[in-house]
Amino acid sequence: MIQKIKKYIQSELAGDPTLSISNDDDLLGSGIIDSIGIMKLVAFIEEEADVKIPPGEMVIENFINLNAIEQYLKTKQD
Amino acid sequence: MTKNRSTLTSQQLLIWLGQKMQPDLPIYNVVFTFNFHQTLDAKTFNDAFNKLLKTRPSLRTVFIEQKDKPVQYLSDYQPEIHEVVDITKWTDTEIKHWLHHRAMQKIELEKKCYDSVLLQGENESIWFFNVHHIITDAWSFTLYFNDLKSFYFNEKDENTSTHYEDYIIFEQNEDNKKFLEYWEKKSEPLKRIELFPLQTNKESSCTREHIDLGNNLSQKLSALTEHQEFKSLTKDLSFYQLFMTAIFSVVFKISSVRDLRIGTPIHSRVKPDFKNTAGLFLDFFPVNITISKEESFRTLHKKVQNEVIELFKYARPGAANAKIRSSFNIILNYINKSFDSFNGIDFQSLWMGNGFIDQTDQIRIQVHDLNKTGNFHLCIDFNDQYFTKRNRSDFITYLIATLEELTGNPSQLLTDIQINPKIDSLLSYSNTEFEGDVRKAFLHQVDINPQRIAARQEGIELTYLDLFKKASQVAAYLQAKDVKPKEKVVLNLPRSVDYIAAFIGVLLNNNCAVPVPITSPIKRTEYIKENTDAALSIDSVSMQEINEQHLSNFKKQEIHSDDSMYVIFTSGSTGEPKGVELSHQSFANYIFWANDYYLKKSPVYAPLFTSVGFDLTLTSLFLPLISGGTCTIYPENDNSGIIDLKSVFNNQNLNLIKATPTHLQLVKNYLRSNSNLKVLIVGGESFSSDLARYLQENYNDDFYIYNEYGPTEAAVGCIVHRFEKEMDKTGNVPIGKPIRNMHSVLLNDEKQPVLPNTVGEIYLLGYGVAKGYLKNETLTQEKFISHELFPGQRLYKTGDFARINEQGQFEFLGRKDDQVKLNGYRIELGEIEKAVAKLTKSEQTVAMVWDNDIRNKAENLFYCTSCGLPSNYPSIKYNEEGVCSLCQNFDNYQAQVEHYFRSLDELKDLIESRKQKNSEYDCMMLLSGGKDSTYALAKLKELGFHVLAYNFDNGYISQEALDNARKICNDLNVDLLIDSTEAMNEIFVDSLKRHSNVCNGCFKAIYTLSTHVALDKNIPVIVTGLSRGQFFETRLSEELFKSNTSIENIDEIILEARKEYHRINDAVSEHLDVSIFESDEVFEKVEFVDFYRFCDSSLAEMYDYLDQTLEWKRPTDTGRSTNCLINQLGIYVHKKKEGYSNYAFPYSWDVRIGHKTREESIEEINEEIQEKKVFQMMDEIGYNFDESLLSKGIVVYYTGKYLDDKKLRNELKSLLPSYMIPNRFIHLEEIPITENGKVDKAKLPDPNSQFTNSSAYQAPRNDLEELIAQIWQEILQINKIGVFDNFLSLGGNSLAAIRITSRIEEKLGLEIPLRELFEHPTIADYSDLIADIIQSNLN
Repeated sequence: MIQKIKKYIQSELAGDPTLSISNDDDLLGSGIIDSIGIMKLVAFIEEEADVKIPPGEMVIENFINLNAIEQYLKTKQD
Repeated sequence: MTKNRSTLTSQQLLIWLGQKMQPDLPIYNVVFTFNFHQTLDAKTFNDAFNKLLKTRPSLRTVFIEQKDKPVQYLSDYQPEIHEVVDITKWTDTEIKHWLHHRAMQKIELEKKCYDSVLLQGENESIWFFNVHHIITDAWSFTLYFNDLKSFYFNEKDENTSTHYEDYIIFEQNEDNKKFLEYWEKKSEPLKRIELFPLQTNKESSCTREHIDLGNNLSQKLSALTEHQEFKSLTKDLSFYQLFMTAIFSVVFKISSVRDLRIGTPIHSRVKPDFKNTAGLFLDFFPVNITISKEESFRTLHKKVQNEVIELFKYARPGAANAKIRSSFNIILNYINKSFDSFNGIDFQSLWMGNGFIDQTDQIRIQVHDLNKTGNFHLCIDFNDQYFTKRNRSDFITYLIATLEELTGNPSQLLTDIQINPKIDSLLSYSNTEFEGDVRKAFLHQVDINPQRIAARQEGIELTYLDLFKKASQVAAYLQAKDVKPKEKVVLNLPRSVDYIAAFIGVLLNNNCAVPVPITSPIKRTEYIKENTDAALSIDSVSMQEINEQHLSNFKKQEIHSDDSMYVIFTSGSTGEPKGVELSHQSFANYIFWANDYYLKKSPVYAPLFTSVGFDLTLTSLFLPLISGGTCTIYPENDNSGIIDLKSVFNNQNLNLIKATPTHLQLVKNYLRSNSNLKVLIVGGESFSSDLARYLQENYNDDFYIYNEYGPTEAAVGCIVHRFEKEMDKTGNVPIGKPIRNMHSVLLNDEKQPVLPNTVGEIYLLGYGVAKGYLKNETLTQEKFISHELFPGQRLYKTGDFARINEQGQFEFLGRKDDQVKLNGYRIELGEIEKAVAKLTKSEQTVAMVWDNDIRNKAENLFYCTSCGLPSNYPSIKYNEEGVCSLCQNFDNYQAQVEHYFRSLDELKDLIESRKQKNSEYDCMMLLSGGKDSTYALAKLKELGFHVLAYNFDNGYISQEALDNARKICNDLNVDLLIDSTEAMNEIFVDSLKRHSNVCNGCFKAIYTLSTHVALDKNIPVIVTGLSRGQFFETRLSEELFKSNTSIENIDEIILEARKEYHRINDAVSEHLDVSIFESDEVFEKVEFVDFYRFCDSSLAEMYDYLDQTLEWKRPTDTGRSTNCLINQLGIYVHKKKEGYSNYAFPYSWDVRIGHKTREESIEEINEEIQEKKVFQMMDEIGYNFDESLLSKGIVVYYTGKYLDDKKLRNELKSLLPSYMIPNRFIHLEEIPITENGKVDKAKLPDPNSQFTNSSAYQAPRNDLEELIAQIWQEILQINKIGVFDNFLSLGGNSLAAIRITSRIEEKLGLEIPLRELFEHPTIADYSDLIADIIQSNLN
């Protein structure tokens, strides 16, 4: 799943399939994605991981980097 | 030369089209000025700009049309000499003026899409840069500016940016179908939200306001975004949502509309490369919110959050189109880019407006901090059509106040927000001290002017003294009859001096007058007497009894201002009339004010010509009497209550007339000049400025027209406006301002004052407010309320909408009832009326929503007191006793009908005479299994005949009926044949389409198939079990009997009708073999005979016989006196499509001839249909529910020029939204009016019986065609039949054919064979035929 997300960020949002993203890179802060991008990312995650992310959980802590996303998705499965 | 042509992106195309619509307006100029606090070097700037041109090629885009399609390409780079203007000697005003002017300069898209100028001053430079929106957006400007800065300071040379072409290709390759569909769905039409009323026709012009929210508010907003629930993934997203929440809140407060929509752009720079690309990257999408009751900022914000998530989910470059773009007219654009610093040189950027806006947009709110000040800035474009200076200021105030409230108290309910501290001086009102009553004022006149004429009627003149004497006699009479003070007295008198005397007499005894016009139906009068607990009723007869002798014991009664003076009954939109009770004080307040205001206390000479049951009349009655003037009486002519308005208006002795706009419409073309007429008071309905102006121009300068608004519940009139020709130019005349001691507030649904200049419901308070409704405490509580803002006061809730305009005048906007909903859309009937009136030049148009479901509701129906026929039966009328016209007519020919019926012996003879030698059976009996056919069969057997019982199974026959049939045949030892056809479903569907029922098709199938069997088996007679009621329903029209036709003749006519019936092309003829009916032979071989023509057994006798002799069981599984389950479906469809039950008519006949009771009939008509079963059956037979069931729609009645329906619809498309285009258009010679002078909606023709014409309408071209058309129209119940319309397509059937033929015979003395109507099925052809016949008769 995380790989899929990474791929999506690289090709669709950052426009560079070769862009290297470490799992703890601050996605927004480092400029890899912007406001619109992050919203699209959330939508993508909802679709791919088949989860519903309520507005209350759309906080930067859950999506700040790939690690955080992974953690967050784990909690959704429980 | 690179001439690489590209198509436009979808956003570009929208702008292209927008510009094409307004080719000369600079709507799309995006203009920024950068004001440097230092003089820049012109040459350096020039070079920098050229580098910008080189490296931002999109600036060099030009657009041309290739084969009617726009294409774009880049013109080659040419370094240019940048325009420089020396402003060193200019004043600030001059600079501003120049900039403003230049910003509006038209950009020629085929030449150059930008305009750049450097203004050089002393210690300042202004860079003016205008780029057409088709190649730019605000983001792009930051790119231009930042690039220019880099070039100016030589920070870089080249620019590796992606070109817009890449985006064009990118957008083209995106598969947006799914997203487009999503957005189209989201753009479904809503009621247009009008923030403020349409001011003028200044299309497209716009004013831009710049607002700095300031540090304080900006910080508060920032702080709010730190809160958990207001925090989104990024700060910008959080702010965006806050602003969106605030805007929805403001729009809701202003418009009071709950279903809201805002448009917002999402920039389509989805690839990182695009972030550095200049060009148009904005797609606009709608955001929908519905404001609930008890909505707070918090809950609204949550909704906004969810919408924004969806927004980003589905927003895709190019997934927007014109339809989506036009679905909103309020826009929020949140811009999170800014300009770089200019290396230390201070500057100010200003986003200038170009003076124009897309005319469909009301307001655009741009939020930004382009200058990196740390505060939010709003750039708001206000469409001048909707916003005056005051409105703009108000809006800004509301928005800022809302933002303050939002940050201060996010839990605040939207409805509690007090965002305008200076709401209305109204809230601190007061009433002046008041004293007096009308009686006193009249008596004063009697004192000082006893010999003046008080009332005049056709030669009779009564002086004040006379009138007083007569009134005293009435009062004495009341006392003699023991009528105590405060009791109610009904005045059921014609307009006359007697009436006036009686009214005053009633007041002399301190009784409460209840005027009831003599034109009032008996039932209504009775109701009124009961409802008021009237102590006495005075009518013409009682007046004759009254004379002097009563005076001797008369004691004058004291009046307290609180005592009731009169009760007037209003009709109300539904159900029973309501009695409104008013006190002396209420009325006196009005009439004394009127006396002071209209003619300044000088004597009033007014006509009394309107209904006494209408409170409008009280003005005309009492103003003269308290001013020493004369009341000129125009009595009623007849029951219609309509009088000769011309003579009223042209009466040179009057100086004041009070009338309704409808009266004025009727009389306006007949007005002569009248130098004595000074005042025209108009009330009762909306009053158009056009009409007012027309009238004003007819009279001289010393003549004034007053629009007087007032419900009966607030004493005649309470808000008044004097018509001003120069001011009141468009729309309706305002209703003005409250009269003395009366006040009006506009409240919203939550009963809070609405914002200034916005729409609210009128609530009235003051002396004029009535006591309440008689004997209706619930309604009184509902309509007369208390309100915390007005302690100690009673407010009357009018149900009328209004707004207060800039001049502080109330403008009436319509009744709550007129704001109807159809299929979820709000329909503005007034708009529809205006649009149709425009196209047809109609003087009066009435639009209504008809809904057959409501029409069919039992509680809305009235039933004939004799036969139970319900009032939703088309065009049915009832007399005063509630007896329907069918019953009344039947009385006239009932006697003749007796001759038609025969005895059983005659039946026996008939069958005997037809016996065939080689036939197994003497006759066939159509046996359904119900009581009628079963009884008939038994009787036939009794008569000794060999009968073949024929039963038809249509697939839905009741099992019990079938069992009955089998059992009976078994018991009687009769052969039973059960027939059916595979084509039954098609026959059902066809019958539903043609006749809106299933029975027609079924009957026809039975007749056809049974005839086949009869032919096969050589059976000479088929006996039907049709009830007598069914005879009248299908065959025995009144025309047959009225014209004294012999019975043989009648039989012939009926046979002819039957022949034609079988020859009609329909599903039966398609699926069954009808060739046998082509020649007349079959009708000679097989004779149809109706058993009940020969048998007169009563219901009781029949049931007795069936019970005892046969143990017949009544089928219970069909729920009514029918044998088949699909019947319900037919009834359901008929009710929906036609607006009444198809059983209404036949049942009424059953009752009329005694075979059913009225109560049974009513009960069965209203029996509940099991919809689930019905839908199931529809599925089974293949009947498509949706397309053909039009149970509700919009109908518009108009006068003026008749236009073809199709044409009207087409033209209306450009005037009205699609969901407001009427389904039916009905052209009338004139619109019917009530005796109160208002449109009589009940008398308007039934929209259901209006056939929509597919062929072009051709009016009758000569007298003969006219005559025939009238007959056809009357019998087919269709308003207008063109001479080329086909009889069958119009719904013509055998019965109609019989009636038409009979009428023609009656009118022209010509016997035209029935079949001719079927062979010449248009008025044109039929008329030709008749003309030929007449011609040959003459020769």
